[in-house]
Amino acid sequence: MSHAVGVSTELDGDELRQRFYEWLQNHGARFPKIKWPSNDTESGSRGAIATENIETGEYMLEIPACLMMSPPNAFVDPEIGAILRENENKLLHGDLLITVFIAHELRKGDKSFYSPFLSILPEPGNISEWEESDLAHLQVCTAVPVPVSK
Amino acid sequence: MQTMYNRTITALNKMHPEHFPLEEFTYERFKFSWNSVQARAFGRRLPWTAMVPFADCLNHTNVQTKYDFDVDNNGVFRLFPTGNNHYPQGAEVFNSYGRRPNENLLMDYGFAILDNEWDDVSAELRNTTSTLYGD
Repeated sequence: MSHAVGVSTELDGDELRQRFYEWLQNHGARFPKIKWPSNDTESGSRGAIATENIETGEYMLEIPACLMMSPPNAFVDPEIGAILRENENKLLHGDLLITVFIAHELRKGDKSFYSPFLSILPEPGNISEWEESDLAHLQVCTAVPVPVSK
Repeated sequence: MQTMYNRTITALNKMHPEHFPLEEFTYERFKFSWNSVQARAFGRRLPWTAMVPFADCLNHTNVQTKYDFDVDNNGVFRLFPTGNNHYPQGAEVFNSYGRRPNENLLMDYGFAILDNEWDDVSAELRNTTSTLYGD
């Protein structure tokens, strides 16, 4: 199976998720009462399920900073870390810093520390990627088209 | 998106062509990265925007959840249900991406939820006083 934008791997979906789980656990992530993915949701679509009661205020999911794709972790990248830091809040303002960091990690393929995470990411379901025929379903059939001035 | 790609990657490539080769920092890769950040990243309660693996796998619904990060320098991101929210065994565990109407969910994530309490409609009301009490 090959990822659309970079992380190429021979593993199938289940193997990729297994690799992701092991990567999380080997680096100290904890979510002892959550099972993911599961289709046993009320909606039937893929989600996470509580395997035991989770109480109000209970830390149900703990992810150590080393697993996060954050500016501090981007700045220690041996190749582009210093460049990212130099351009923080300038060329790489807002979300651009992390965007470039992710693109850089995708480029490394399976050599990336984050590859177990990046390779399970779906193509984002942003509406800008929808087909015209699907977008047409969003139109209210009783609504009257109104001309919009330029 | 294309403009943003050009501005960012072309500029980086000009400054450091050896580290930002255009054939590897492709538009497709940039777009995937940008869209993933928009769809999955955390930030409101963090010092910066960041991807938090696994925390971003939970589906959204209107529940009360919170997260904290690096409390007492613990170096950990923690997500928990708050208010009257809790998850019984066997129930789906959700995160709230914020108080978002369907229009917003659909545009940003490509889904909508039934009976969304943050949906609104606007209706135009005309002042009819003059008709009722006018001369």
